[in-house]
Amino acid sequence: MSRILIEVKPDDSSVISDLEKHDDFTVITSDRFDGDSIVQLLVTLSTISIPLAAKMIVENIKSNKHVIVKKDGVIVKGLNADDTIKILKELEKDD
Amino acid sequence: MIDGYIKSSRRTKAPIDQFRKQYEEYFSGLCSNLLLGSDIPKLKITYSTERRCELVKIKDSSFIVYDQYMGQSFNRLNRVHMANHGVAELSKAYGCKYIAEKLVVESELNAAAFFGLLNHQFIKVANKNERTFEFDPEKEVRRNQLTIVQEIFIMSHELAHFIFEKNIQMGRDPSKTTENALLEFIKDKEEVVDSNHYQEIVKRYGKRVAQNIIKDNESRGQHYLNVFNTKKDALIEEAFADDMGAYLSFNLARDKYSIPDDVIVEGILTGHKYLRLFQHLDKISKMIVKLANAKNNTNFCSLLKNIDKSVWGDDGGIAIGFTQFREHFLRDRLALLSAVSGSDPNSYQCNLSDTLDSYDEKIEFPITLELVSRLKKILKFEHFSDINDRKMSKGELLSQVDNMTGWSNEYV
Repeated sequence: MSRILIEVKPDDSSVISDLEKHDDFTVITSDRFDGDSIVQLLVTLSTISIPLAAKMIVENIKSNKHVIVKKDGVIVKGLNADDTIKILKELEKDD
Repeated sequence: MIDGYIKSSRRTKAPIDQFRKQYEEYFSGLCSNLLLGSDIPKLKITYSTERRCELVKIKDSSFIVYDQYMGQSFNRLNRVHMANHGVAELSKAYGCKYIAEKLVVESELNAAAFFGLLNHQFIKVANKNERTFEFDPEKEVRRNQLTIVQEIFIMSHELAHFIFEKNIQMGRDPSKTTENALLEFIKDKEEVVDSNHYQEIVKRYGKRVAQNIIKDNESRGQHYLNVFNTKKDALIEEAFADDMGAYLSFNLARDKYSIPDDVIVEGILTGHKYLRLFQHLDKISKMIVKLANAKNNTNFCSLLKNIDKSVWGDDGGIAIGFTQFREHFLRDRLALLSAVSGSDPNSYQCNLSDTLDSYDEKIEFPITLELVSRLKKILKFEHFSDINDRKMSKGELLSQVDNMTGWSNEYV
């Protein structure tokens, strides 16, 4: 079971609550020392979750919003509007 | 699920078992003074390059994730602060190690290797004398006590966030009391004749930095009011957590570990300062990521020109003012706690001021001012690409970086 963590700003709350309805998505909230709010989504990669996660990531990239994807604590580089699904599929195999 | 979150959010290795009991003891000691019954967060211990203790909520469950590597980092910085020789070089070495480990998380291995090497260079210069960390027993006891207090404070700060939310859920919003205390604190600062605040900052950090963190002729009180108005909700909750965390830590450290009041106060304030240092280092690391991804030499040079400003943020000093405000407010509250505890805070205020200034001069400035200024002079566009001239694979390079930063070593 391969998991990733997606970090976004809380202004995506409606998208997040939609995703949370799926079993593969879990919302994690945590406090930061600098007082900034960040919402994190723990995603179990699957044929269902990958397109949904990719849609959210791509929308954030396109609108220049903060989005970070981590796998085993390391930031996934090279995410862009065209290759996100491909990269997530590779991460699904990498566990 | 919490284990899945920890594994996904951090670069970890297994926590050291022999210390686990100690953290559990701190945590149960802190909780035993509360009236929360069984309604307390679960403690999870990790060891990660994030060096972050956090209150995590997943569905209806709350956890405090305590990071052993953070405590270990505090201990290292305490030792550096007390070191007999080469303190400035050791501070810079620590800064480079931190940046290298952050760059690994950012998948910037070439840049990480560069900072791993710098870390080694600085250590080599500092360790010419073998007795760098040889302390007399009294100093050793103080160092150990400081680390205990710092670890307890970080844990209790997160526990206080949990208490803040519990109060709100139970209809007892603690915001108003904290807001009043903060406004009273600002008013006190306004009343103090403090018109030279800008000049003080210039003297301490230099004009270029000062211009980035405070407006010309702005008094300390006005600056704090500006920070308060910009980040009010976050400031209230963080100040509550600092205040309550300090109260819980003070009681536990004094009653259970018999740590003297002056050491508790110093430990809490330096712990706070260390977290602020980590924020600066995170900002430097983010800037290095940008430099490592510069498209050409012109782009690289224009980014590098602003590296010293980037350490202080690009928000007109709000982020820095946010932590400074909290630190000064906390210092006032700790003086009150000391007085309630029976000791006269005036008896150690002078020493405390000297110690905090010495921390700034020995730990923070060598990193945020000297290291950054040196990087500005030496960094070149080709540095991050040329470093891997042996064309090592990603795995080989990572292993080299981990060796240079010490992450691959046994726990030291």
